[in-house]
Amino acid sequence: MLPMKSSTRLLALPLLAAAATLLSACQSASFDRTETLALASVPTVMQANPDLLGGLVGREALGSSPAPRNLGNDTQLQRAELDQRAYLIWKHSQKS
Amino acid sequence: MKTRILAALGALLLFLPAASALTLPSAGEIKAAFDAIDSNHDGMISLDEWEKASFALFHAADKNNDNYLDPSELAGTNITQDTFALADENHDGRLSVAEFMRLRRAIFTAADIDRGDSLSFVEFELLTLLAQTGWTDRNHNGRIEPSELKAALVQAFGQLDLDHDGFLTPAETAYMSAEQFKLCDGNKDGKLTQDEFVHGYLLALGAL
Repeated sequence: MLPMKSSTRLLALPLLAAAATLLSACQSASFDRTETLALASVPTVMQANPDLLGGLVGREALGSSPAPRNLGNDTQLQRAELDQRAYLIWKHSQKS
Repeated sequence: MKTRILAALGALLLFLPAASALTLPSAGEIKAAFDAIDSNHDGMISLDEWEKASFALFHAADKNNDNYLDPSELAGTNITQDTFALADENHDGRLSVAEFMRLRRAIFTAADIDRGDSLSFVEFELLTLLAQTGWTDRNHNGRIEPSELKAALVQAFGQLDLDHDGFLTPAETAYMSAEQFKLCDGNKDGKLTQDEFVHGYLLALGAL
């Protein structure tokens, strides 16, 4: 491998930083677009499935769901906290 | 005596699910909802896509923006009230995000009939149908097993067959995609018997 001249190295660093910023911005834009689509899709989803709780499927699935009995209290709490945090992050992303 | 019998019959009719009570969306509406949730458009709804859509639904329903859903923020059907009570684990009269997401994951697991960890279009169509016609989880594992699906489809057939002639016409199956109707209609006579209806769905799910 050839040694890089110091001037080339100086030029490469800002270029790399700019590329990283650009990549990050693209990823962020892509994430935002997906999230915006998700929120915009609510009326369409509600048109087909007006019961958020899943109608008779939701009632039967939850009535027989083994999750609360099999999971320990700590695991349930961790899961609940993760859901809460994930939702707040998602919600925040809607505002930006 | 006659009045008492009539009153009893009237009361009974109030609690019987009437066939006309089904308010199924059209095939186009189901497809539009599926496409809206399937954000990467790969023809399958992953758990991640389902959860993102669930966040969006929660957010849209949470009108007072307090990060909880109370009964007034949800449609007041009997089914919803029952499910609400089941989902409200700590019995505080409202659903937290975690309680809501546990319910939404339970729905996803039940609807994932082929256990592929994602929902295909036919599974989503069935979820929409069974949400109104019902399903019984006989082995209490939270999943729609093939034998349970058969029983649920027989029950659904009875509710969809509005004129009780033993056949389902395209008008009676307006919720069903044209592709699924074609798959069910083995003898190509333009209407479905109960056997064709059940067989067609099992075939589509690879459960035969």
